[in-house]
Amino acid sequence: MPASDRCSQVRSLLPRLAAGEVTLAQSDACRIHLAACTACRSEADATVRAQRVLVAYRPAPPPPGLDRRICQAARATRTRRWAPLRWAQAGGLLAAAAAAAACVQLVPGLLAVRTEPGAPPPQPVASEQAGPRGAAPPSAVRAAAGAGLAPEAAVAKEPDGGSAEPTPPARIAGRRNRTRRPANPMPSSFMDVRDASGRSARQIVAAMRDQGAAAGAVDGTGQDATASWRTGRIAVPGRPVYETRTSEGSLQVGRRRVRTSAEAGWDAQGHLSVIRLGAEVEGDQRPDGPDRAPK
Amino acid sequence: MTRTDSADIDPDQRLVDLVLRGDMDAFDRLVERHHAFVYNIVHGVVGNADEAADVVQEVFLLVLRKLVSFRRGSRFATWLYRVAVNRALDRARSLSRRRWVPFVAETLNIVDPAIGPEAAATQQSDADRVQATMAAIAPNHRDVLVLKYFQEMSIEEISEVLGCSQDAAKVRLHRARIHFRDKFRSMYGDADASL
Repeated sequence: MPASDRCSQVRSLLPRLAAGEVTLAQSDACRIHLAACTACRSEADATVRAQRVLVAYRPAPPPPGLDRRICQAARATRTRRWAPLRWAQAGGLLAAAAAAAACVQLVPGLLAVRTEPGAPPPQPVASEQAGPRGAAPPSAVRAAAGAGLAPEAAVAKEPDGGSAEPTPPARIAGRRNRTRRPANPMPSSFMDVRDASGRSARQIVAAMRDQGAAAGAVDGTGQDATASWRTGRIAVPGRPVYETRTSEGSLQVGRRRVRTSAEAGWDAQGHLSVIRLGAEVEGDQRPDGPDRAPK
Repeated sequence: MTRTDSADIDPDQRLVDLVLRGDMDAFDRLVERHHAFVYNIVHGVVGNADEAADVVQEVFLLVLRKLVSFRRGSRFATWLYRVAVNRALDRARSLSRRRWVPFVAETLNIVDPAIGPEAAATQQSDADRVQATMAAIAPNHRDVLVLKYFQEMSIEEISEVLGCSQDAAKVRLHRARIHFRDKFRSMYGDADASL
């Protein structure tokens, strides 16, 4: 057998050899070859090393309280299954706006973004602020429950997206809570920030919608669209700690579903330092196994 | 009796029945029993703790909603893990496709510029390297590695969770090992190791 054929044969066995899944005869044959072939020996060493780190790896435990959070969300879903989705649909417009922004990529006009003049510095965000309902479950869950919807949804709900200022969160908390809540010291969403020319985020997005091909995506909202938001924190050693707000959503555009994200971050001095938008079109659903795993 | 053997010995069967009758305490016990395992699967595939926690929650709520469609052709845990793998793959692909558009010139520099990439690499533990390598390979290679190495499943269990034959599972595992090895080698170079 030519040496190259022997090498390829041995190399194809290396992953199983390192995992101890070959027969004794195969193992002996491999070792004899490896003793004489430095190239295959190098390949074998890399295989063994990869195998060792994989075997030694121990996954991190789940975050504390995850099971409790799941159980609470499950009970909330059960009790709120038939809640109206009106705000969810409105929130989809924000998601569409994020999609439009990401698709059009009008980055140059947005490079210098600052917080709204006079806005007080943000405070550390407690977990209760993660959403109007308290917890911060995934968007799909919130959509199913018809609850926990983004306050910026009402802002994005207006169809023209023109000159009006963003509605404060207290006024859009929902029909069942008409009590004016104290103003959030932190901008309620990226819709509350302005770019260097003073345009509100809603105006920016509207301009994008008017200019780009993504207008179709925006116009296609209003049906089967959801949105949610959550708070977070970015901590990097040697860097300021950023409080962040992320709006996530999805909407149906024709037969495709678009998932969107919009994230804004503020440092302790209230300076907007991180803001980004993301969008993607989900692909087709894969077929499931015999006991159909739900998608 | 039309149930299969695997369903007959399913330790979760009674809890599943109770959940179907509306007993949410039984669902709590299912969550308590399986959430760590599901989290490890999802975290291994997604590679991000926050995203993984979200996906795990999605998985359990989806299972709760679709439990009535569970036909018991397999064990509940197998079905649950299959859902988890599917959702984790979806999220991993979603994260890899998502295009982030920076609004400001200043973005976070996660790697300290004072420390070069090589020095940063040597500071990493093997666990960090495994995570980084897993993040660098295709999601459909991650899932089988996670099930095999992180969850220590047998080929039979892997094939059940992935919904494929055992031969197909072996082939997937073989390819995944090779991809992991090549990526690991390209990221961290060669080091002494011996058979």
